[in-house]
Amino acid sequence: MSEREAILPVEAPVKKAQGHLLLFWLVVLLVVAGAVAFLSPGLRTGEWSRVLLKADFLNLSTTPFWYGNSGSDYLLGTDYLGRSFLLLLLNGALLSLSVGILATVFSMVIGAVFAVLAIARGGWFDRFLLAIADIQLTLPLLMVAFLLKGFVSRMVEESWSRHWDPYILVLALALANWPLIARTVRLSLLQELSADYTRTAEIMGRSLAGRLWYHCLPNSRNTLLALASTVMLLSILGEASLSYLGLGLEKMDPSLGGLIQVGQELIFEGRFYAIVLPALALIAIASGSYWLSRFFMAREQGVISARPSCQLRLTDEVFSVHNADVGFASGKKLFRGLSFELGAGECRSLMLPSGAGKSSLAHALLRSAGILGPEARGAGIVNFDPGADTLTERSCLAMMPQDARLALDPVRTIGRLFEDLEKSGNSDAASFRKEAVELLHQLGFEDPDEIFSKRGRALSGGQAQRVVLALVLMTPARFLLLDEPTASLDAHHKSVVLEILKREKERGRGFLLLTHDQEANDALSDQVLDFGQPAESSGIPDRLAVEQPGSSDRSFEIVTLEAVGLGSGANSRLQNVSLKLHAGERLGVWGRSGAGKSSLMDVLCGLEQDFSGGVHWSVPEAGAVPAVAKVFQNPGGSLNPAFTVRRCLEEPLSFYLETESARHQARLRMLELMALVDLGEDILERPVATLSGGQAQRVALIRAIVIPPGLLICDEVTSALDSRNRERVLKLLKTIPETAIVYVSHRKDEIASLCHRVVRMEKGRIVEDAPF
Amino acid sequence: MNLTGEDRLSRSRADRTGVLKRVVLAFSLFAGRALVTIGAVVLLSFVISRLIGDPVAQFISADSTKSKEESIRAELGLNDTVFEQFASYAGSVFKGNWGVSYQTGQPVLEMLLTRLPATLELAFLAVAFGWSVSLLALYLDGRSRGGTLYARAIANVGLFVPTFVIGLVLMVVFSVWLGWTPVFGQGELVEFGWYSSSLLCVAGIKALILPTMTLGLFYAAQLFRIMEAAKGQIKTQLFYSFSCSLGIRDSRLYWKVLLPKVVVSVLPVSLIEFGGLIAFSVVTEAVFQWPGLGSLILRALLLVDVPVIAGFLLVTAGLFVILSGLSNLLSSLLDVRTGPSSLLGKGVGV
Repeated sequence: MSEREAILPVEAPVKKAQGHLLLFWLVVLLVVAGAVAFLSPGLRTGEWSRVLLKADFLNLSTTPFWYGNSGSDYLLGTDYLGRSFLLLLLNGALLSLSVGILATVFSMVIGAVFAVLAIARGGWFDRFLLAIADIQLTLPLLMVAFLLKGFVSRMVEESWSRHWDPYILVLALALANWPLIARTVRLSLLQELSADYTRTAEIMGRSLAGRLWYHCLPNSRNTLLALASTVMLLSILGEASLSYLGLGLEKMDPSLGGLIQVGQELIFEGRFYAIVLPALALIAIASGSYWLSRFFMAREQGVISARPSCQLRLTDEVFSVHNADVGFASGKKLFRGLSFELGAGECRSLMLPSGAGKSSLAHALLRSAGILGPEARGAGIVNFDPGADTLTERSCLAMMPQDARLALDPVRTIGRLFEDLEKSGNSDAASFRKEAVELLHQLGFEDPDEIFSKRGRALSGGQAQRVVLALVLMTPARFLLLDEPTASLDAHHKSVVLEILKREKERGRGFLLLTHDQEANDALSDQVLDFGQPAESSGIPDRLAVEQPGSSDRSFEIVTLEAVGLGSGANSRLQNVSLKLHAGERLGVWGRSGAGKSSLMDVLCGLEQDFSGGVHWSVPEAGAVPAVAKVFQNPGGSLNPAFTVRRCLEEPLSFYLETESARHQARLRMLELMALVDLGEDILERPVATLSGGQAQRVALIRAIVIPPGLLICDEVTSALDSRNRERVLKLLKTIPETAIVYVSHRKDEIASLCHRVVRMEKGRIVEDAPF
Repeated sequence: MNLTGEDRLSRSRADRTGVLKRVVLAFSLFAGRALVTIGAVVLLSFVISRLIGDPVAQFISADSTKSKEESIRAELGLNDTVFEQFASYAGSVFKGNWGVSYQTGQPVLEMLLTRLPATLELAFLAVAFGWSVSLLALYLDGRSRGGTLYARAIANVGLFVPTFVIGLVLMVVFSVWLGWTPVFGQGELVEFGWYSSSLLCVAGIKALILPTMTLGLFYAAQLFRIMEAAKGQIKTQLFYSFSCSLGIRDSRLYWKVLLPKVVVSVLPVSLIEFGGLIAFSVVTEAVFQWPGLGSLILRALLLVDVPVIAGFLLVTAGLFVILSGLSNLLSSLLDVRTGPSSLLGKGVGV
């Protein structure tokens, strides 16, 4: 015990992050206060303008020092009232900046409040708000500003409105920009609200305000800052344009726009500085404030590893990769230490389950070979060094992607795609066409001309895959990356395709085969690659005895579903579903996609309230134990990327447990669970974004069971994991005998090893309910 | 305005009935939205013509008696209830009677119509200029280091430099220093009835060059930003990666695959931006003292000529409704994922 206590740091690192946030808001507050003060009537008509912008009638309209009028006290000359141009410039810059800052803050507040209201109220209010925003878009800023000023000057006395002129302008600019903000913020928050990690918090019972504050806001940060920088720019330039037109700030106390308007007269005397200097100041302020707010945006995590640099060779004879780490710029890794060497006429294969990163690997190789640009989405080789020992010949490698329909251009015909290839190669048109037709024939297309006239989206999955293969084979590339080349083919076409690939191999092509299809592997591969070490250390310690199925206590029914239905008619998603679940019982649910599994889970979680029939719970309603928790399919998605692992894991503790001692107990349990599935304590301080898929899924599970809920819902929790991580996750699930589990999966072996009972769903009904 | 269109997936264009359905749907949506918008703007222009300034003021002189003022008030219907006043206002708006300017005493609709050609010619030329510059920038961007630099420069000038500064700089260089173009004004005109064009004589064309460049550069920067975003989006898609991996020549990829898709996805948004262009022409026209709608409304704003302001509101709202309707129609016809809307949004222009 005491050992554990020593390990737990007294102060969570979260505090530090909040400290930064506090500083940020403090700075914002100070800046806003400064801007308010600078625009206040007291300062504008008082000391500032009387002392600093004093008119000097002995030096009217003098020129700056480079005009050679030595003896003048004014560095940049004076204006038509004899005021120092330098001070006017400074004053104008501060005015523009103050107006810009205040207008930005105001419009962000108005826009954000409306966006949150629209989300909270929903329905007609939401639509009404969008309609207003739409109508306001028909009014240019100029009109909004003018109308507001017109109203205000009618409502109050003129002297008063003159005094408060800058604030009215601020308000006008804010009113002009709020629709843009309300729309963007609304969209961004809605996106975040439907993210898995926000859903997890919703199931936990967090209020809308809590979800918006803890989960949506930190993750919308970049969007909000980008928006703020844009609005700042719009406000500053808007103010300048209005002042230039004479509709903005008072002419006697000019902002930069006003200075330019006055200076316009002077350009005919050759005094260009009168517009050039204010214009430069304006551009500097506008771009400076824009880039400054971009500076606060969260940046991508750096590349983490520092392994010896990898080599990639791609020539007509050999395609080799040595010692590569494949992963994302965020630091998340897929493979470590990948090495292979592929010669002409050879085939190496990587046997990986779906979701293990095959397509990412293919993209990473193409990017590192310089075939795809940096814009292409996905992984790269993180320690790739395009230095001395690397030789790449771009035309020697081609990829056959898995998702063939998306790989074909949606608006151009297949014939055009072949034409592209023909025009890019050296062969003449007639022989190229003959070859292509021949190949398509062999691939089982009766009438190639008909295929030529079709577009990619009009083909079936199997047809598209064969067309893609034909395109790849028509390239001169020596080496081919085959990403699940047989995934959507029926048995007949599969054998045809494998025959053709075998023939190509004999003709001297080399393949890197990425598949989980044993048949394809047997037919083509010379050697199955060991894909380096997996991205985490191996070996599962068996420290806790893991309880076996069948020994649980089934004393009472924790939840009963009575004839639950959801939706009606063609949209019916659940029909007459009745289900009883005992405490500690593990129920497997399986069925095709669209069978109603997700809807069933939504009803159980309380995410879906609008159902018919009855759902009866017999969980103690007290806040100390969560009634239901859910773990989502996508391991990365169910953890808030703005949090560290510790903050994710401790969120339920601070939410459910009242006393510090109870929390402490729960923390100890958390550490035990982590040790059980081979997660070290060092992981606690890491940002969520740097976790691998397997780690993230284990963290998500531990969070769900650290205070064992009455019912745990697992939605395909192992589908993105390799077999080792799958075992670990299943092991975790067996540590909570008192919790009922609904385990949705399409893997029968997992359901068999874990569950006491299994139901099969079809078209929104339960069609089979049998114990194991 | 469904500009992002994220939720709409591309479908086969061979599906003719689908096209018809989409067009009908888009049109009915458009009609509903147009009615609401026009109604709201008529209401707004009614409110400002009642709340800002006094409608009676234009008919009375300093020595008018109270009773005469009362009779004018009654004649104008100002003693009726607000609803009756609004009904008669809306009626006269739809009949084409938009009131009389306080300043000149001319009918507002006539004033707007005589100023329209100058602004329209300027706007259309600016659109042509903007498209050519932004397409050039798109071509240069990413081609070489220098090309990227030029493209970024154009985008940043349009973003950070206010229109009136661009206009003044052009004026100083080409009119004041080089003396190639007139400093301001519209130059010579050729008249056809109420429509007077400056496109048909050399002096008129010379006068058009600088305003066109000023306004067009702003439009080009807006367009380039949308095009760039669309290009980035296309480049992340699998079919583009696949074409790259097939070894298709870069020039062919650009002209046959990338460019048509970028243009198609930018076209609907660029129509909306055209509305912003008309709004922004106020500034350009002020710089070059161009006698178009913009300088008319600017003068009206400075002198609180309420009927002209209300009329201008109706014109911009009508224009916006037509343009957004066309844009919706176009994107439903083209049925492509519309590119992201420009960063600066629409209609936020001065």
